[in-house]
Amino acid sequence: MIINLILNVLVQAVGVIFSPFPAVTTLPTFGGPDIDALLVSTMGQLNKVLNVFWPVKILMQAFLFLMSYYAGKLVLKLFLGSRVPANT
Amino acid sequence: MKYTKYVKVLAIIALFIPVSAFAISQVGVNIATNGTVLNLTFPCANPDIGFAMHWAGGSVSTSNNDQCIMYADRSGDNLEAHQTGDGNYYYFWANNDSGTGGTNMGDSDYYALVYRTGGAWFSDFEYVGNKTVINTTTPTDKSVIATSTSNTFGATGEIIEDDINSGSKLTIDIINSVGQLQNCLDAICNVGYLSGAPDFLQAQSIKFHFEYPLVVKGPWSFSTTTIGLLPVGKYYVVTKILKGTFCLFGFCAYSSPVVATSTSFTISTTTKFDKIKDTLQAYQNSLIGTTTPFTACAIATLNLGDCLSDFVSYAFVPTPDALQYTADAFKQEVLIKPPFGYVTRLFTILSSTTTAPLPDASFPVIYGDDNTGAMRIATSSIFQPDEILTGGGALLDSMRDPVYGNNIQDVFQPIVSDIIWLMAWLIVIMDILGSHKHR
Repeated sequence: MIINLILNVLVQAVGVIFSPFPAVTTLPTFGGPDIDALLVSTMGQLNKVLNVFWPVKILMQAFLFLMSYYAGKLVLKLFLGSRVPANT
Repeated sequence: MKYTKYVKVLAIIALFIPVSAFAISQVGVNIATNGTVLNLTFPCANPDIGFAMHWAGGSVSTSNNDQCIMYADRSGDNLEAHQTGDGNYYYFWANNDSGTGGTNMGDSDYYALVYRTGGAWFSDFEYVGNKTVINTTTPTDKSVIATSTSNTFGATGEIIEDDINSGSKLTIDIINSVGQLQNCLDAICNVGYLSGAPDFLQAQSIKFHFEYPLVVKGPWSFSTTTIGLLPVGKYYVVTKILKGTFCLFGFCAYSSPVVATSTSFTISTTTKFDKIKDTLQAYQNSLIGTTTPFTACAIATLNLGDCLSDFVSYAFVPTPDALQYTADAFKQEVLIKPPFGYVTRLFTILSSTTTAPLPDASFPVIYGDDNTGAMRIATSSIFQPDEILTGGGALLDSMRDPVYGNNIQDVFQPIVSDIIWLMAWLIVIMDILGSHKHR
């Protein structure tokens, strides 16, 4: 309860900072092409291919996992600077 | 002349089919979509009698048992029919798992719902697209239940193979309007309020969470044990099918919803007895408490060691539910807002499992010169990668070993998956371990 209370307070505090911003539902469009629609249709077609070539699908999932790990590291580094764990 | 007898047989069959089709369809419910007509005939006023079904896209096939549930195999119509408990709803969907023959005609993409209101039958078609669905929930949406009635929660639906992994599960969350901090101001919630009852009775926060692992593709059904009586109020039910992501050796880092529904029901007071019972129950709860984790601290069952252990555990170690709530709140408050929202949106798109058909490639084809010697140019769609992929995938899936019936993917996917994920985790572990080396 205590740990969770601290976490919730932190989330609410950070939430207050971001509360004026609207939720992002689509990616922004630069110039002509609708990037969001383009990505959605491209990923749909890619999924269609990957469902048949399933080893590539697993590779893609692992790649996304690694990318999210490195993205998480970047976020931590943004907040903690050089004190971040796994600071290579 | 030697083909004459075959012509006669075909003529007899050609005469017989339209007559039989008309006889069945004239009292049925016609559902037309995509050029396919589904004729459903219902002499099933008594669910024990059964009903006949004819699908114009295939041959006539009827079957029933004493529960009025029909399974027509692929050689007939490739449709499964199911009936809900009250006999007023029937739903059908295509089954690609069994049987051979017939024409698929995109029938697996549609879900037929036939229901009865005021003695008349109505029908509806919904697009399913061979995907994971939640078909029914218990209690039904917007139902009103007396406080004297015990409650059971459940759901039925279907899950496809792509959505099954070690983290796949059904979750049902029930929360009352007090728990949602809505103060029950809407009219529905006020219906069952107790006249003159103490405030704390109307301020009880009720939360339930149920989980049910989904490990086999196809239809599923889940029902809780009887929960018992609930206080008056409006309740919201969120039913989700979750799929694990970033799984290794059966452990998944996250769960993402594949499909979710939101329904509600109302517990209303109907008798004086109900009011008295609720009031007494509320007094009891206020005096003794209903928090089960601290039963070791109760005087009657005091166990000091367990009591202290429970206290420390619940005071400092967040429960998975609480952590999930915090994570959800963090996502809603921060991760979907700019600038993180763009990354979240990108990640959502990249991790989506929805498929889209590949575009056909059309280009001009030059035919040879005809009798006049002129060249003709016509545009023709001659390359269809979607058809090639679908057909190739189906062909690969169909090649199975004669002993266990597994195809190539069934045999090698677990091995390939484990190797790739092991490598991914090794990269992460090496990155973390190598981060503290002295330079």
